[in-house]
Amino acid sequence: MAKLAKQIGLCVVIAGLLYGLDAFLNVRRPDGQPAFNPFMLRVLLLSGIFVTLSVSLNIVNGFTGQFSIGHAGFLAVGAYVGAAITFKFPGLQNGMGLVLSCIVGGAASALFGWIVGVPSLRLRGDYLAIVTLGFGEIIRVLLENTSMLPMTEFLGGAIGFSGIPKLTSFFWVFGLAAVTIGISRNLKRSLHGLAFLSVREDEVAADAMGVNTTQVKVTAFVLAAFLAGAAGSLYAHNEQFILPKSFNFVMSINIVVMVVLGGLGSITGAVLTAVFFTALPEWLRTANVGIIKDFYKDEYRLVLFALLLTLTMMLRPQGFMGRAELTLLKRKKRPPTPAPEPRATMHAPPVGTHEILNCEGVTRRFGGLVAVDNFNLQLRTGELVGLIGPNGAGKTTVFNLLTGVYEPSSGAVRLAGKQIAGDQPYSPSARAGLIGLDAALCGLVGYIGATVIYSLPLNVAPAAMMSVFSMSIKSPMVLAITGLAAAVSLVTSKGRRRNRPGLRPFQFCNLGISRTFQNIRLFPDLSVIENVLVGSYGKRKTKLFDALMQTVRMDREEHEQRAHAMKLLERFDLGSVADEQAGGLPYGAQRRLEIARALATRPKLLLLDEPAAGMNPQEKSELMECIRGIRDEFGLTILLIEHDMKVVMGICERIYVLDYGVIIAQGSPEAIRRDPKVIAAYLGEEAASG
Amino acid sequence: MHNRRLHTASWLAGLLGLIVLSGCNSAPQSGGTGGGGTGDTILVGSYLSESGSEADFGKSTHEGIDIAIEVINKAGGINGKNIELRAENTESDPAKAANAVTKLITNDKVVAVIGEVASGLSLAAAPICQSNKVPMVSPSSTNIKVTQQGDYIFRVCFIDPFQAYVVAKFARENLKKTTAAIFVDNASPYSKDFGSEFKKNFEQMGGKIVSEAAYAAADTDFKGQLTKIKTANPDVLLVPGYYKNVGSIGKQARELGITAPLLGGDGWDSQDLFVTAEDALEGSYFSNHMAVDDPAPAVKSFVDAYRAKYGADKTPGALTALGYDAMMIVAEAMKRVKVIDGPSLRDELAKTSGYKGVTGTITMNSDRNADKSAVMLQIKGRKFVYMATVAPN
Repeated sequence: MAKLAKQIGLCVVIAGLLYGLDAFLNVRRPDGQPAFNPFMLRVLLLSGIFVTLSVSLNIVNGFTGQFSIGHAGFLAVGAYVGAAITFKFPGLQNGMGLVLSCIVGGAASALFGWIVGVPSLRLRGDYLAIVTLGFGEIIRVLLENTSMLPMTEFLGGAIGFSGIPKLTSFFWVFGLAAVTIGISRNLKRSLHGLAFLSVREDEVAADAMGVNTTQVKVTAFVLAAFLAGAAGSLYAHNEQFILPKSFNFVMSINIVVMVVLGGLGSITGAVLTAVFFTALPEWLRTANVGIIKDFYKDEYRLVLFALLLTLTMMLRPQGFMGRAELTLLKRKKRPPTPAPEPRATMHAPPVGTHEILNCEGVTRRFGGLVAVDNFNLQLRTGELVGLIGPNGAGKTTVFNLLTGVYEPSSGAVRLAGKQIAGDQPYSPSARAGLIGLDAALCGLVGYIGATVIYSLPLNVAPAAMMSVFSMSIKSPMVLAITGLAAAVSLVTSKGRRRNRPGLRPFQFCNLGISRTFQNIRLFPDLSVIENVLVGSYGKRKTKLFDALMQTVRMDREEHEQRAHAMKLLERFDLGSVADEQAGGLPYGAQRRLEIARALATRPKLLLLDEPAAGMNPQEKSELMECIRGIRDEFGLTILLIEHDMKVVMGICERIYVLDYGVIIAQGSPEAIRRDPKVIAAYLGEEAASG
Repeated sequence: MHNRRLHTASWLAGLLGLIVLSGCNSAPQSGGTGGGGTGDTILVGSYLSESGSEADFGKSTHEGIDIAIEVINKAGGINGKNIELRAENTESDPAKAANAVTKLITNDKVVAVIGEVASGLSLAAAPICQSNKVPMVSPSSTNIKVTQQGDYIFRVCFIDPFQAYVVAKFARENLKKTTAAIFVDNASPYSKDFGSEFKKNFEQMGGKIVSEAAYAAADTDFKGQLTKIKTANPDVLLVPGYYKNVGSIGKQARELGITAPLLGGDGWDSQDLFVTAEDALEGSYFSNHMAVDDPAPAVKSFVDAYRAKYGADKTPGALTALGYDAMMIVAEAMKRVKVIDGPSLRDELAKTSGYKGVTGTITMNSDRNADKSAVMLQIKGRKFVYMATVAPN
C-alpha cells in the first residue's frame, strides 16, 4: 500500500508540475501578448508529441527488435479518429473531450495495429517492415479518398481536414509523454519486459523458453499503436488542420531515425533524439549569431542536418545511447541476495514407475527427404537416456519434434499419456465450420474483385469503394463470380486434409519440456540472471498491466523469481557473474548457464543437445556429475544427445542409436557398446574395444 | 533513495529552467503597436516550399515577391519606409508551414504573410494567421476552402471552379465543340474537382461528356485509358493535370491517333511541358492566370523587370506573376492605412478593388477571393500564345 501511495504521489507531483508549467507558459503580459514566445511553445509541443512517438516505436523496434516503418500510419488513424470526434460533437470541445478523443483515437489505432500485427508478426524477419510500410501507405490513400463518400466527406480527402478545435496544451502533450516514458521504463525493468527483450535477442530460444513470441510481438505492436494514436489526436488538436499527405513514408522514417539514432532499446535515447530532431531545425530558423547565421540559410540548414545524421551513423552505429539509459545517479546496488538455502532434495519419483514420454511411429519428411522415420521412444520418469548416432542421423530433428519446432509428418508424441504432437484431426463439426468459413471468405474476395473489375470503366477507387460498401451488385456477372469463387473453395477445402494446428514451442515448454541447444543460444546482450529470469516467464502469475504499472504484485513476483534464479545460478557456480553480460561468459559457463535457464522453466523433461561439446576432460567430468545431480535434485527425466562416448556411457541408463532417421539399436550402454550394427554405423572398432 | 530523487528533481528543474529562459529571452522586446521592422523598414513574411516536392512552385513565387519589393522600394517604399522580406521554407510539409508562420508572426513580428502555393500548406498556416490577426495573402492556392478559414485570409488567384468554367466556356463558345472526354488524376483534388466542375458547366452549356477516365500521378503508361477514350471519339480531351503527366499523356494520345485538341488548366504552365510532349501538344489550349505576350502595360512592365533581374532569355511563369501581384496588393493596402497593424491592414486588403495586376484586374469579393478574369492560351511552336480573356460571369 505504501508503494501505491508513493506511485500516486509521484503522479500527482508530475501532474501538478506540468499543470503549473502549463499555466506559466501561457501567462499573458499586461498588453495581452503572450509572455512566453508562442513559436517556442509550438516547437516544444511538437517535440513532446514526437517524444511519445519515438518512445512508443522504441517498444517495437528497440525492445522486441522488430522493424516497423509505418508509425505515421498509426499517428494518422489516431489523428483522424480523434479529430472527427471533437469535430462532430461540439459538446466535446474541452479537456474531457480531448482525453476521450485520445483514448478513442488510440483504441482505433490499436485495433489497426492488431489487424496488421497478427498476420505479419507470426512471421520472422523483414515481413513486418514490408507490411507496415504498406499499411502506412494504405491509410494515407484511404484518407485521401474520404471525400468520395458522403459519410466521410467532412474529413476533407486529399485537401485535408480543417476546422479542428485547438484543444492541445502543454499539460496534455507532456502528460502523455510522461505516461509513455513511465510505462516504457516500468516495462523494460520488469519480467514481462525481459520477455520482450528476449525476442529481440533470439526468437527461437525465447520461444523454447516459454515465451509466446507472437503474443509478445503483437502486444508490443498494439501498445505502440495505441500510444501513437493518442499522440495523433493531440497532434490534430494542436495543428487544427491535418493532411493525409503529411503522414507519409518520410514521417515514418523520421520516427525510425529517432529511435535508431537514440540507440535501439534506449528510452532516454529516444527522448533525446525526438527533442533534438524536432527542435533543432526550428531553432536553426531563429539562430542568427556568428557562424550559425550562415546556416540560417535553408540550403545549409538541411545539408548540415543530413551530414550530422550520416556522421552519427558512421561514428556511432549503435546510436547516441546504445542500449544504455541515462540515469541520474549510479544504479542502486542490488540488495544482497539471500544465501542459497541448503539444497532441498525434491522427492524424485522412483525411477521407472510411469511413462512420461512416448513417441509412436513419429516420421518427419522434408520434401523427399525422410529425416526421421517411424521413430519410437519411451521414457519413464526419472530416467537418464542418451540419443546417439552419426552426424546427420536426425538427432536434433528429434529434439525439434519434441519441442514443437517441427511438427511430425505422421505419428504421435504423448507426454504423460496426453497427445501433444502428431495427427490430431478436427471434429466433424469444426471441420464443417472451417470449410464454410473458407467458402465465405473466398466468396467475399470474389465479390470485391468482381466489383472492382466491373467498376473499372469508371473511376476505379471511389466507384468500387462505393459499390463494395453498399453491397450493390453491379452486374449479374458479379454475382456469378462470387458464387463461383465460393463453390471452388468449397470443393477444394473439402478435399484438404486438416489437422488441428500443432502446439508451438512455448507451449511445449509450458507443458514441462525444456531444452538446450547444440550451438548455444543464450540472450547475449542480457545479463546472466536476466537469461535465467526469462526462463521463469512462462510460470508468471502477473499480467502485463502489473508490469506497466509496476504494481506490488509485480514487485513481489520479481523478488521471488530473482531469488529463485539466483539459487539456480549458485547451483551452477554462476552466482558471482549474475550481472555480467551473458555473451561475454567463457564457453563452459555459457553451457552451464543454458542448462540453468532451461531449469528455470521448471521442466519435467529436460532435453540436452550435446552439452559436453567443446569442453575439456576436466569440465566434462564435472558436467557428468552435474547432470546426474540435477536429475535427482529437480526430479527430472533427461534425454541427451552427445557424441562423447565417455559421457554417454558414463551417465546414461539407456541409449537409443539413430542412423539415417531410423533407430538401429536401443538398450543399456553395455549392450550398445557391443551391438555390431552400432559399431558398423557409428562407434567403430576402437570404441568397441575401448 | 532520497538523494536520487533530489538529483532527479534538480536535473528536471534545470532543464525546465533552460527552456523557460530561452523562451523568454527570444520573446519580443518591443511593444506590438508599430508593426514589424525597426525604424524605416516594414517586415513582410513569406512561407513557401523552397525544398521538397513543391520546391519549383515556391522558388518561382519567391522570385515574383522579390521583384515586387524591388519595384516598390525603388518607387519610394510605403510612405518612405522600405519593405523587407523574411522568407521561411516550409519544406512542402504542413507542420513545418505552421512552424514557419508562427515564427514569422511571433519572432519577426511581420505585419503580413504571403504564401503558400499548395492549398494543403496554406490551410495549415491559415488558423495561425487568423488567431494572431495577421493578414495572409495566398498567391496561388486555388482550393475553395483556403479563404474560408477566416476573415484574415485572402488570395489573389481565381478558384478551381472558375477555371473549369472558363475552359468549358471556351470549348463551347470559342471552339464550338460539342463532345468532350475527361482524363483526371484522381488522387489530386485539383485535377478531380476541375474535371467534375468542367463536366457540370460543359453539360449546362449543351455539351456532352462521352468518356471519363482516371490516372495516377506516378503512371507512365496511359495507353489503356487513352485507347478507350479514342473509341468514344471526343471533339476535345480535357486533361486537368500537372505538366509532367500532361506531356506524356499528350504524346501517347497522338501516338494512338487521337487528333482532338487537349484542354487543361494552369497546371500545364511550365516550359518543361515540352520535355516529354515535344510537339504533340501543338494546337492544344489551357487556361492560365496571365499571358506573357498580353499587351496590357502591367504585364509588360512586370516581364521587363523580371528579365532585367533574371536574364533576357527567361520567361516568368504564372506563379511568379501571382507572387508579384500578392506582394503588390499588400503594398497598396499598406499605403492606404495610417498605422500599419493587422486589423487595419486586413480592412484595407478587403477593400482592394479594380487593381490592375499582372494576372488581371483584381477585386476582392466578400469571400476574400479575387474576382478576376482568366486567359486562354494556345500552344504554338513550343510557345504559349494568348488567345482570349474570359471574365467571370
